[in-house]
Amino acid sequence: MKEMFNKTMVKATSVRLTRERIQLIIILAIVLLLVLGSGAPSDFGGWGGA
Amino acid sequence: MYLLALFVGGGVLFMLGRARLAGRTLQLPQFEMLYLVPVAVIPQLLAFYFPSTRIHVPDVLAPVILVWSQLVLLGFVWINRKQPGMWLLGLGLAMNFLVILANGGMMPVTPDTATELSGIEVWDAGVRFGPGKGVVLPNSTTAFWDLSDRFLLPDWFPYEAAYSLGDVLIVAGALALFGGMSNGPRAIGTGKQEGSQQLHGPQAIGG
Repeated sequence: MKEMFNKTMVKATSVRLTRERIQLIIILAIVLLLVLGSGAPSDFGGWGGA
Repeated sequence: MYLLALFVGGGVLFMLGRARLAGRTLQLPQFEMLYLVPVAVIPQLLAFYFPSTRIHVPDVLAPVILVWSQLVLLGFVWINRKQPGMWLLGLGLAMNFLVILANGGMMPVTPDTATELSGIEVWDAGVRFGPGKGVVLPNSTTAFWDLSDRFLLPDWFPYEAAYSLGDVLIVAGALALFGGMSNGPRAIGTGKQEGSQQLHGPQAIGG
């Protein structure tokens, strides 16, 4: 069981999240929030295109 | 979700595709005072977007939150104005801010547009347009009407919404920002430029 768990963990972490990739994800999230907060379109549901 | 998912997905594809085609690395912008963005936008999310929280926000507080939030975002854009596309995004934000500020703190939507989007035939002037950022105002009483949410998405689009000229500039600015990110040095080079982080474009995602 423990061996299986370890194998799964290795597989799950095989896609490496380097510092630069994390920074890229943060930048994308910031741009997304910036666009959403600056001027999302008006809709009746109130989701503003989000 | 449609528009934002489309925009972000398109922007990322544009950025990675451009970097790959040009054989360039990705160059991440070095934003200053990054925390201002969540500080500004989270109150908007709570007041206008999340159904479980927005019902608790009184109508009188909504304009205050929107104006304060956009003011903070303007500050962030000004601080980072040297980043690619930020001046364009800032211009769009300033246009939206101007029309919002001049009309009581909410984005004006005409009664005709409100009817088109909601299916409700009659709208009184000054009524909030659903739970979002809009307020229903006729053209005659709208200051800077040209800058309001007066454009409708085309009929073939699977989502109905109204947008402003400022929104168009904001999206253009964000795309320019994505374009700037794909404009790093050639992938073969190993030198780092001052004040930037570099990623190899084709490997940035899923590599």
